[in-house]
Amino acid sequence: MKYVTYRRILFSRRALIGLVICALATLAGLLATWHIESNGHYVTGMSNAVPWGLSLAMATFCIVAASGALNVASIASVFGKQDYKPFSRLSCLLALALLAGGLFALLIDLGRPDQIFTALTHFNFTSVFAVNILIYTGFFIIVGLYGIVMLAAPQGGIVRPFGVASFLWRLIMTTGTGSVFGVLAGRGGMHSAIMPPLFIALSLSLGLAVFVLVLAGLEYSGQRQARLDAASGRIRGLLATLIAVSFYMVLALNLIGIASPAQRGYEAFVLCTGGVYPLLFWGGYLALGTVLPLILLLAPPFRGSRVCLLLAALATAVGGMALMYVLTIAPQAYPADIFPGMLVQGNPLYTGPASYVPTIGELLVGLTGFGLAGLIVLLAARLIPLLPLAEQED
Amino acid sequence: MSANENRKTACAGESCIQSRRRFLLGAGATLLAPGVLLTARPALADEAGRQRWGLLIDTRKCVGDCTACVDACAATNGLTDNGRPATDAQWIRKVQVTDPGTGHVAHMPIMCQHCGNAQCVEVCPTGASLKRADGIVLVDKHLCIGCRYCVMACPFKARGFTHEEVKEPSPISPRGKGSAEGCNMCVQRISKGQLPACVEACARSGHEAILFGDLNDPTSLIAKRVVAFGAAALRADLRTDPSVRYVGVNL
Amino acid sequence: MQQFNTIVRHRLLPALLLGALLAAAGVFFATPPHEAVAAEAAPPVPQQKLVRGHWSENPEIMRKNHKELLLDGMTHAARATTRKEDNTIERCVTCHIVRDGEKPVSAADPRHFCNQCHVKAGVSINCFTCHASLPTTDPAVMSPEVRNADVIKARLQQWQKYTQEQAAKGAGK
Repeated sequence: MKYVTYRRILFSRRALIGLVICALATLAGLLATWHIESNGHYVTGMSNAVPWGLSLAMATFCIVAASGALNVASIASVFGKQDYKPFSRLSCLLALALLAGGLFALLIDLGRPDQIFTALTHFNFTSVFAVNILIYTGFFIIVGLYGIVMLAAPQGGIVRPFGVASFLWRLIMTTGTGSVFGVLAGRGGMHSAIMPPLFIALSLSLGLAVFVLVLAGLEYSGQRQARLDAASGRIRGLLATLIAVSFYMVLALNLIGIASPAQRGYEAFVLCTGGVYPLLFWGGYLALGTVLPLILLLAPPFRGSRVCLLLAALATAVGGMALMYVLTIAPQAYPADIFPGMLVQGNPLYTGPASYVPTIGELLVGLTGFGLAGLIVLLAARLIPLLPLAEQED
Repeated sequence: MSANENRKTACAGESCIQSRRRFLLGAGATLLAPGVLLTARPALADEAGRQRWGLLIDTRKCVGDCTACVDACAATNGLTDNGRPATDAQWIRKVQVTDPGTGHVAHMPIMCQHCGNAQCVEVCPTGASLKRADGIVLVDKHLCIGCRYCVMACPFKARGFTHEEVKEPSPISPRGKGSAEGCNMCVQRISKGQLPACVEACARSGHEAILFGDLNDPTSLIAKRVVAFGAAALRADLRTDPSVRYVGVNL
Repeated sequence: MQQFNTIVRHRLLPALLLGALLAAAGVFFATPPHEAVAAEAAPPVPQQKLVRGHWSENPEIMRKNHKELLLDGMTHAARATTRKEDNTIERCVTCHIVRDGEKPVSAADPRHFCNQCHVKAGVSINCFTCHASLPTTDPAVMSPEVRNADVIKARLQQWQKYTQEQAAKGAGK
C-alpha cells in the first residue's frame, strides 16, 4: 500500500526571505491603507466614475484563485484521482489563505472599515454582496473542516463527503463572486449571465496555476517534497484544458457583445479604442495568458520541460490578472449609456470614457492580499505537516 | 400600492387630451406656476398616505448655459469644490442631448432618479441605501461602509462617494468621508415645507424647468403634467421606475 | 537544545502568560471608570429653560441617557418620513455652544461641548465626521416651536448678527 508522509516545512534562508517579503508586502499595504483612509480616497486613482480600481481587481483575483486552488484537493477527493491526493492538504490551505488575503484586501479598501461590525450585523439579502459574506464564511468553515478531517483521518472514507461539500461550495462561492459583477444592469459591459460561469472557469485555471507556482516556490526554498508533475504530465494537459475553457467563456462574452448593437460600442472600446484595456486584453490575457501557456504546455519541443510548465503557470496567472483588470474596470470607465442613440455633451461623466490611472497605494493594498496569503501558507506549513514527501511503498 | 394604481387608472382614462384642454391646462399652469412653485407646501401626509415625491423636468424650459440648480445644490448640501472634478461631489449634472437623426437639442439636469426599483437599494449589503416610504432614495450614512457597490450599480451614475474629509458639513445635509452619497431630494428641507434647492433655484432663475410634487396625488400639478405631457423616464427599458420624469426629449 | 525547549515550555511561556494577565488586570483596575471621569469633566449646563423639559429639569437625565437617545434617533433618522420628535444633532449644537471669544468652536476643537467629556473619558465619537457641529440658523433644521421660543429667537438673532458682521468684515477686506 502506498502511503504518504507529510512533514512541516523548514525555514531555510530562502524560505525566511520569502516570509519576510510576504510580511513586508502586508505591512506596506497596511501603511498604504492608513494613508488612504486618513486622507480620503481622493489620493487613489479611483473616482466617482471608476469606484472599484486595481486593489479590488487584485482582491477579486485572490478570491477567484482561492476557489480554484481547492481544485487539486477536489480532483483527489471528489474525482478519485489518487495521484493528486498527496497535495490535498496544501491545496486546502492555499484556498483558505488566498480567500483570507483577498477578503482582507477588500476590507481595508472600504471607505469606512471601522463600520465592519455594522456590516456584519445588518444584512440586505437582495444584495449579492451580502449573501457572499455568508458564503465566504461558509467556505472558511467547510474547507476548514475538510482540512481538519484530512489531517485527522487521512486514509478514512470520511474525507470524501467533506471534499464533495467543499467542491460544491466553491462552485457556489465563485458563482457569487461572478454575480457581483454580472447583476449590474447599469454597467452594460459586465452585465451578462456568462459572468458566473466565466469566473468559475477562470478560478479553475488561475487556481491551478497559482498552486503550481506555490509548489515551485516551496521547492525553490529548499523543501524536499513530492513533485506535482510526477503525475506523468497530466497536470500539463489539465492546465491547458482549463486555460482553453476560460478562453472559450471570454470569447463567448465578447462575441455576443459584438453581435448586439447595444453592446458594440463597449466592445469597440475594450477591444480597440480603449487604450490600456485593449492592450491588457490582447497582450496580457490573450497573448501572455492564453496563447503562450498553451504553446508551452502542448507544443512538442516544450512538453518534457518542467521549466516550461512553471513559465506557463506564471504566464497564466499574469494573464488572468490582466483579464480581471479589464473585466472589472473597463465597464466602469466606459460612459453610462443613459441616452441610447443620442449624442451627449456637457459633463465628462456621461460623455467620454473616464480616465483611471492606478496609484502605488492601490497596488500595495492589492498586494496585501497576496502577502497575507503567503504569510498564512508559510506559517501554517511550518506548524502543521502539510508538505508531501515522495511516496514510498510499504 | 393602491395609490399607484389610482394614478395609473387616471393616466389610462385620460389617454387623449384635445388641444383646447391642453391650452387651458397650460395657461392655468403658467398662471399658477410661480405661486405654486415658490410657496411652501402643506405638511407631509403620514406614511399610510403613500406619497411619492417626484420631479418633473421640462427640458424645453431648461437652457444650456444656466447652472442655477447645480450651484444651489452645491451650496445647500455643502459640496465644496476642491479642484478635483473626478472625485469632487456633484449630485446634479447638466447635460446637452442631441438627437443625431432629427438634430433636436435638449438640455437637462440629471440627478438621482429616486427609482421605484432602485438598483442601488438592491445591491447595498448593509441596507444603508434605502427607499423611504415616500419614494425618496437616500443613503443612511450610519450604516454605510463605503463599499461603493451602489456607485457601481446606479445606471445613471447618480451615486458618488465622499473621497475626502468634509470640512464644513451643511447642517441640513450630513455627509462624511468614506460614505456613499447622492441627491436625497433635500429631505430635510421638504420635511419642513420647503422645496428642494434645485427646484427653488430654477424657479428663482425664471426658467421654472423643475417641478416638485406628489406623483401619487392625481390632483397635484406634477401628476397632471406627467399625464398631459407624457413625461418619460430615463432608460425606461431598465424598468427601474424613476420618480424623475423628463418632458420635451425623446427618450 | 532539549534543555532550551524545556525552559521555554515550562518556565518562560507560563511566566509570560502570567505577566500578560497581571498587566491586563492592572490596566483594567487602575483606570478610573468612565462615569467618574465624565462627572468631573461635566461642562456647564446651558442656563436657559427651553420648551422641552429634559434640558432644564435635570441635566443628569441627559448625561446618562444621551447615548441611547442618539442611537434611537439615529436608527430612524433616514427612514422615517415624519420625524415627530424632530431632534437632530444640529439642533443640539445650536444651543450647546462653546465660544472661543466670539466664535463658536467646531468639533475639531477639544473645547466643543461634546468633546469636553468625550475627550477626557476616552470615548471617541464620530458623529461630527458627517454632522455639522457649529450652530445654525437654517430654518430647515429648526422646528417651528423651537424656532419661536423667545430665548432661542434671541440667541439666533445674536448669531445671525455675528455672522453678518463677519461677512461684512470679510467683504470689506
